[in-house]
Parts: sequence; C-alpha cells; structure tokens
Amino acid sequence: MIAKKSVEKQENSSVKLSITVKGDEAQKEYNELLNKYGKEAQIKGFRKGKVPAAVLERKFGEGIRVEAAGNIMDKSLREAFETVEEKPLGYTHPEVVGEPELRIGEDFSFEVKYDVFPEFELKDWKGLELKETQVSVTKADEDAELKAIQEQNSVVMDKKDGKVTDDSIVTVDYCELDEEKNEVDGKKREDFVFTVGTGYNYYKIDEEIKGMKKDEEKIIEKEYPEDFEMKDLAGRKVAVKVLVKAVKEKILPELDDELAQDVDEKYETLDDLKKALKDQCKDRAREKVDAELKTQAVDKLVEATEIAVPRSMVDVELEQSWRNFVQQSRMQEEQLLGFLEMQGQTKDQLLETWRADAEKSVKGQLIIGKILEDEKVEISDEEFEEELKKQADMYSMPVEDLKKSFGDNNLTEYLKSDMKTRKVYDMLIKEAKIVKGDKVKYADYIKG
Amino acid sequence: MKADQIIIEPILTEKSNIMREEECKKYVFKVDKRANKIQVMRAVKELFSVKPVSCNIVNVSGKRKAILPVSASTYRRGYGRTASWKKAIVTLASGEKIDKFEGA
Repeated sequence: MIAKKSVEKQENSSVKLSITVKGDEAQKEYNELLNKYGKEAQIKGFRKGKVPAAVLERKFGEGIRVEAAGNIMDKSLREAFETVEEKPLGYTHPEVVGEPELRIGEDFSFEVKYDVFPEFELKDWKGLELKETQVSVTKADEDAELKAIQEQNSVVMDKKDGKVTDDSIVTVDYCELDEEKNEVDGKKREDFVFTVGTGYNYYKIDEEIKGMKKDEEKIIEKEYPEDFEMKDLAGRKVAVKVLVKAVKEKILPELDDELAQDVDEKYETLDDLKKALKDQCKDRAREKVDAELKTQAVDKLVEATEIAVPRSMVDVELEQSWRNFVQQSRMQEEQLLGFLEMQGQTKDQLLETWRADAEKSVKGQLIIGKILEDEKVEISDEEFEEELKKQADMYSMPVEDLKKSFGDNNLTEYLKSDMKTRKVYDMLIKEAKIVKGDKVKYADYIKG
Repeated sequence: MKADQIIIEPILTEKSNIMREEECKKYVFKVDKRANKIQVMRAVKELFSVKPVSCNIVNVSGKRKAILPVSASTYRRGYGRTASWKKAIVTLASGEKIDKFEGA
C-alpha cells in the first residue's frame, strides 16, 4: 500500500514520518467507503440503497474523503510501523501534521509526528561518588525514645495536694475585671484547660497561677508590655479573676520491667526494651541513609546523562502525580479543581510547576531501566520465594495465601519488576564509591 | 415573470436521474404554476445557457393529508391538503448538459 516513506529525526526524540500512498490505492479505499455508504444511505427521492454514487459523492463527498483519508492513514501507518525501526511510544497517538487532503486520482501523501523511546548513552554508573551521612545514635536519643514511650503510657490524675505547680494540668474559670472590679461582658471563659508552663492561655497567667490551690479564687493584676502579642492587652494593666476548679498532673509510669512488658509482651525486661529501641533508631537511620544514597545516585546519573525526554512521557508522569495528588487530598477531582481556582491557579499551571521534577523522575526511570537491560538483571525463583516469604512475614499471613493473591491479581510480574529495580539500586550503591559525609545527630537527622 | 421566478427547484429522484442518462438529456424541475411550456423553455435557456428542444408539463395535484377540525368552533372534520404544483420535464438538444447538475 505504501509507495514511499521516509523518516526524519527531530528534537526531543520525536520522529517525523512521511508516507505516500499510490493514487489508485487511495481511490480503491475511497470507492469502498462510497459503496458502503451507498448501501445504507437514504436520500429523499431515492429508495434506500439506490442512490447513485455520483449523487452521494456530490452530497457527502467532503466527509467521505476525510474519512477515507483517515482510513488510509490508519492502514498505512500500521503497515509502516511494522517495518520502520523507530517505533512509537504507547502513550500518545501519532500526530498528523497539517490536514492532508485526499484528491481522487492523485497520490496521497501525509506526514505524522510521534515520540519514540529516547536513545541515550548510559554513562559509567560504576564508581559513583556518594556521600554517606554519618548518623550517631547516642544514649540521649535512646532516652528520648524511652521518654516518648513513657509519655504515651502516662496517666492524668488529680493531684493529691491540689497545689498548682509546673506541668500541672489545671481547669480554670477566668474573667477580666474592669476598674470597679465588675466582670466585663464577653470576657469570661469557663472550664478552660491548660498545662501550666506552656503559655497556652490568653492572659499568660502561668507564673501567677502557681501556688494556688484547688477551689481558690484570686484576682491577678498584670501589666502587659507594649509589644505584647495580643493586641488588645498590649500596654494595659488588666485584672483577671481566676478560679481554679481542678488541678491534675500527669503521672509518668516508672521506668521498669513492667513498662517494658506493657509496651509489648516480647520484652521481658527494661533492658530488652532499651536494646530494641536502640536497634529501632539505628534501623531508621540506616533506612534514611540508604534512601538518601539512592536519590543521590540517581540524581548524579540524571545529571551526567543527556536524555531528550519526549514530552508525552513527561505528560504521562505528570498525569500520574496529579492523580496521586488528588488521592492524597481526599477530595473529588472537581472539588480540587474548584479549590485551585479559588487560589487563582489552574491544573495546567500546577502541572507546569511540577514539570521539571517529572522530567527528572522520568529520566531516572529511563536510566534504571537501561541499567536493568544492560546488566540483564534477573530474578531467580529462589529469590522470588524468599521475597514472598518476607512479605508474608510482614503481613503475617501464610506464604501460600500470599502467593495465591499475587497470582490472582497478576501482581507477580509487578513484584518481580519491583525487585529488579531494587536490585539495580543495590548494585548502584555497591559499585559506588562511598564517601563519608557530614556527621549528624540522630534526632536532628530524623526530624530534618 | 422572470426566469428565476419560473424555475423553483430541480427535482432529484431515481427517475429523474435515469432520464439524464439518455442521448437527449431530460431535466426535471418544479416550476411556477402560472408558467407555460414556452416560458419554462425560455427560462431554462436563460438560466443554464443550454438549448431546450421540448418541454412536457405535468400538473401534480396535492395529496390529501390528515383529518383535521375545520375550525376551532366546530366538531366538523375536514381534510388537510399539500400544495399542488407544476412539474416540467425539459429535453435538451442532443449532446448538451447542464454542468451545475452534474452528479446531482
């Protein structure tokens, strides 16, 4: 069907394909279509299917020609892609350049543009220089973790002596008074609860309230500085009547074996818990360091490699992250769009800001894919079994069940490819030159 | 009457299509009811710059249509009727054709 075709490479790994179809082939296609419609057409004055071709052509010629052109393009493209080396990517349809017109009896030629899988040269990925952050887990970090557990297991109870001190949790009624010691309307609060010393109260009476007892009433007079954060209090002298209704305190559990057993039955003594916490800290730090190394490695590779990423690939990636975004926001897509509009943004603008990142991640994926291909990374059955076992452990379900559910959902391949990617990452790090990086404290590292 | 008042529209049917395929082509038109054969031939000559040889005319009476009330104030029913019209079949001199109607 195709008389002539030529491929022309263009920027961003797209390709222009020109195809010429012989006139009689085009004519045949056109006539076929005309016959098809002739059998169906109903025009006033003619019985169904008895409309002469000439009449049909005059009435609907334009439409039929366009459709015939489309058909011819479809057919010839399919034929062309079988032989042409540059295969199109699956994300988008080839885009037709201009509006090719089908003229009867003439050769029909058209051009399409499409993206191909980007070709790039893989830079040497062995011996990348990666900075490994040195995380030191100290005794203080352990203690902090332990303290957090203590806090979690704390109990709030009424204070025995009923005296307000630091860290007591108090329930108060308070009211601002005017000069004649009358209560000011609308400035009264009842049953207000706060922890002394945190400053989470309107008049900042943390200091003044200390030493008060339960059911005690007191008028606190306080002068506020000019630059006080509450505007209507700044620079004023205010009297506040405070009634302490309840004084409670947080009772932290003793650090002993019992606490350890409360946390989890597998810890018998406090030392067990401490050890587990230490390991936990180390694991967490290790995980983060590993993740950092991975991103570093990929970033370095992306920087070093020149890839002309086709726009359609980035678009697909963007669409993906948009969908993630929608899911994370837990809103309907329309709601989210409306929300964005309120902020004076459109989806396209938002996506545009993501574009650079998306491009980078596409590049990263391409590079990983290439390494995967080059190194012929394979997952053996034993490795797969092992992974399954690990996952089964994680979800605490029998291996057989897990295997079945993977098989049912056709996830086996997915899992395998995931494992392959992980293997590539491992290889990257293994072959890299690890340089000792900055030393950081565990607490700062995990938070930051 | 002017030529474009006489010729109202060409008639396009299976039969009229067949008539065009003979040696002396015949074209069918809907024409003004008041026009006669001579006027029609003259109008065709003027409008399409061809030489008509002859003209046959058929008066097509309108068809009786749905049963309708005669007026709003009565139960009496009458028939509706489509308009009657005049059909002219114009034969052109041998070998002549009207380009405008080619393929229509």
